[in-house]
Amino acid sequence: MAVEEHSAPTSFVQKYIFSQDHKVIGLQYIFTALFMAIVGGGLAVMIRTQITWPEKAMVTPEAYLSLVTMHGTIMVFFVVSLALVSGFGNFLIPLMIGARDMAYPLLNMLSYWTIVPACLLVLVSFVVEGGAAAAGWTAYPPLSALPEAVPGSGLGQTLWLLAMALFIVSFTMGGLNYIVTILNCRAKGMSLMRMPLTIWTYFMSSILGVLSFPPLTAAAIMLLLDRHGGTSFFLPDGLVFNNEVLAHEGGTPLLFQHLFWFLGHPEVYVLVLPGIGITFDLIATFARRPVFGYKTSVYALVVVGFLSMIVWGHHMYVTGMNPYVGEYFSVATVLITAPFAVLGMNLVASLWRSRIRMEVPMYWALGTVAVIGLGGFGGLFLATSISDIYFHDSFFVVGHFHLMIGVVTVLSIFAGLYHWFPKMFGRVMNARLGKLHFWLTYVPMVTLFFLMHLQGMSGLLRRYYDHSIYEFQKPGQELALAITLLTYTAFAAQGIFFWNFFRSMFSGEKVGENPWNATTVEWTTPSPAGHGNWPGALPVIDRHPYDYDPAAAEDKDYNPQGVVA
Amino acid sequence: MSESNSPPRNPRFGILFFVFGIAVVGTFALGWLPDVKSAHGHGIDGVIRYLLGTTGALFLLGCIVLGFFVMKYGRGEAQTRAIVSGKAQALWAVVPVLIMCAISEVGVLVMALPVFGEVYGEPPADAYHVEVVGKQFEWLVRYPGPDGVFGEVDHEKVHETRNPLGLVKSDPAALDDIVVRGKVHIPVDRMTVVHLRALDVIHSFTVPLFRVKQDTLPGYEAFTQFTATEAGTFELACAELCGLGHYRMQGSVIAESEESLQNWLNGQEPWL
Amino acid sequence: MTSSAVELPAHGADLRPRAGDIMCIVLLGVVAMLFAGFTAAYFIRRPSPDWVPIAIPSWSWLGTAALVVSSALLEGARRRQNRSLLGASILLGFVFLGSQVLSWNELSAAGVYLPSTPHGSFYFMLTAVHGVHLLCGLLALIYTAVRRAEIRWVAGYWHFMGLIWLYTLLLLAN
Repeated sequence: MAVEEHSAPTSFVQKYIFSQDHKVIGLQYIFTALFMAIVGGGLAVMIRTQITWPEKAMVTPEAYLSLVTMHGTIMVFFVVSLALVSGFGNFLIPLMIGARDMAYPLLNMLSYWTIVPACLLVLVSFVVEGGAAAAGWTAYPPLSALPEAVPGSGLGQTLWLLAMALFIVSFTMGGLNYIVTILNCRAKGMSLMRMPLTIWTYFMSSILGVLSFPPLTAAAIMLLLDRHGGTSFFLPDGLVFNNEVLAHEGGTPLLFQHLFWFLGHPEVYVLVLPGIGITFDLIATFARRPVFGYKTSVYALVVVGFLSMIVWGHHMYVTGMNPYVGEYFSVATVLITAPFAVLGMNLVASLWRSRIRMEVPMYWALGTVAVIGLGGFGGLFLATSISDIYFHDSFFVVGHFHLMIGVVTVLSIFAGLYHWFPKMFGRVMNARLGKLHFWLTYVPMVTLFFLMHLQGMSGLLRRYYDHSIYEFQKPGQELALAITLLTYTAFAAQGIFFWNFFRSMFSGEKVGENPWNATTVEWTTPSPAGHGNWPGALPVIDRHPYDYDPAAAEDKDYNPQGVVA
Repeated sequence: MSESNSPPRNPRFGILFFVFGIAVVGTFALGWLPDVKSAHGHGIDGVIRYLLGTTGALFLLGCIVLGFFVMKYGRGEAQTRAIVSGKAQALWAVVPVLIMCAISEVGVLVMALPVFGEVYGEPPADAYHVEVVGKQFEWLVRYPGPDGVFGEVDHEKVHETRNPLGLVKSDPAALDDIVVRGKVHIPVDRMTVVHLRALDVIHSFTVPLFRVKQDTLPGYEAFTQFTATEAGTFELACAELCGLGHYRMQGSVIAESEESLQNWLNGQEPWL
Repeated sequence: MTSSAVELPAHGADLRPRAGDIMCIVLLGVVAMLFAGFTAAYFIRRPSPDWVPIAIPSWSWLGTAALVVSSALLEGARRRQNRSLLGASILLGFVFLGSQVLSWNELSAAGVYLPSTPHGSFYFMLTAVHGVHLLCGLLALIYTAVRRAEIRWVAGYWHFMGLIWLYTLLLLAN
């Protein structure tokens, strides 16, 4: 049960605006993320258009750098984190552990309403003088510290820093809530090793997130002071702009990079782990058998989480960091492939001797497994410091991280939306449109980011406004048109999703409490679930979460995890 | 809805994964790396090919198994003996752990370590030294001149046209320094050590055909070293976002015979 | 709208730690990581030649004493359920913040401002960050006093802020 309880809301404002109900808050996050995704996707379309036809100069170099910076920032924090971690995390955690709500519903509400001004700051930054931040989502100083270095480093960068500060506060509030709720509010009988894997991933994600954001907060504060307080945390002696030497002295740009990547690396696991967790749950549900290797998957998740906090330097191999320190990071980073391979093997093995039902969510879940493999293996080329010398800052990096935090996550978000739609709105989404949406999203997105690996291998560099100046970039550039057309296709295809999503909300086929015959306890609540989730008593858990039997008759091949009196 | 008698089946969906695996591995196998013109560059390419071979094989295997499972078990037949003991599941987990630890650490500690020595080890005493300084948006190249010593610089003295590196006149070692914009002349078959600095923001010195990349940090002197194995002119680009002109910080590295290089150097006037 | 009384899960019935304990520990972990980040920055920045050390303002020592006594009184308040000790503790918290303002004045009177020397920059920044966290703690203490809520977790937070303060002074004094 919630540590602090809230009574049923009565007014419209209490129900839908300042709600303390985790389901409403989860949907608020998801809707906000869907809106920001249109913005972020639009930025991607503009980026691709510019670099495919640079001779047309459709945007200025200033605008281009803001496009790439804000595309990254918006997608990572305001789309993927917002939808997958904050949105689904909020919606699912109490439902899947048999609780009425999060431990601290008021804190939960505050966490959402802190994100809203952050989004506004991000959007407003596009129209201020100098434009939005333009130093990359990584915001390295001196470029990000000095307005004279690039126009976006004027007001735009300050607004970016303030937006990030609000984001971090919001995320921390949410992460604390998730941790307390998972540890403390599980239904009777739900030991940690009986939690669905989705919940394990949210647990790891929250711990990683709350512990790794603070050094970035420290860095952001120091960057703000360097920008506005005349300090020199990151700014060394002798910076020359327009024949003038700046007054700063003594600082170290590398310090910012260490602090940034201390967050930056765990952050990608904060994003990807819930995607992997959702994939496991969906595979069990639609393959009608228990997850293979539940226990080893839990251990693998913990190992991935631990390792992820001590390998950040692999983003900095060519920065001038001591190369022996770099070698340590390389040895440690490549070890992450071991637990990741366990997770991959378990995902595939969970299909062995199964009885697959190809409902719409299963298309997405199965597709995700293959992308985890492709993206995961690609990481090895970057983790090995010597090969990274060649690949650093090339399109190989861009392809790799998009596959992991832009495709695995996005596929999981869609999988989750199709799967839990009944629990959110009491109806199902149209299956035909769902499959069409799948093919028009999956094939283009996976292909285009895979092609970027080839571009990187041929030498194409990232964050370039125009690749045509160099001979060595010409072979890679030949793939640009194909990638851009695939981008347009994938972006346009989301129209199918939005149509299906909103239409089905109001006129989709109505379904009962457990349309998928699933075992986890969220499927013992009404569809949609109401205030307090279970109308009567909370469920009591008497078994592991995936008691499916692929040998039994098809309408009797599962035993729900929770017994509702 | 799947509550009724016939859940939806689509075993042919597994074909997607066969196609996926073969397409990925096949396209990579076409070969996308550009020519390599440096000694250690062959080592880097060797590491890349090792990783392509090992991960490619594993990825293809994974796709085939995944596709096979989807096709076989997508038919929806009842399955007995689907559940194995926890012990068996744990033992299976050992397999990917051993395979990945082996492949990945062989990559880092066996394939890559010798290259690490070439790139980061002590350069020989007869190495050729040149300095490259990144600034928005060009590369300033300094040759130490006959005395072989780089003279003192003072950023207070930097002026775009009159003294782009801020050479200090009172330092005798600076009087013979040669400063050139964008052209890095180096010898073939002798190690070149590049001293790297930056005047304003972080840049990154990269010569793709040499497999060289090293960030230039303001307030810090970095180094990179390599040996050109072929004469020619090779493109130099910036590989760290540095502002509006990041995409056009074009330079070139001219690798030539010792004689040709010496002739060129002799023909240059010192900056001061 | 919401019940403000904290409803505690049945503690003896199962072995789960109390929600407030988990919240407190993780929150303190977050604050610790923030100061860990600053610590790393401090040690990396320190060797630069432009590091001109400053003297710790004398007002900071008064503040330190106030904070230590405040923690002691708060512990007393917690163990003996004594609300007037709680009030005294809050008062001393304000004394601490006041002494920090005076410390900052002391420095600027001596010509040391935020950008003057990196040592000073760290002093201003770390004490400001600590001060903001302490102020939040102070507000939480006031809430606890007014609403007669459980002192346990606010006390844990307050003591930790005291420890962070001592740690910060130790760091800055070197």
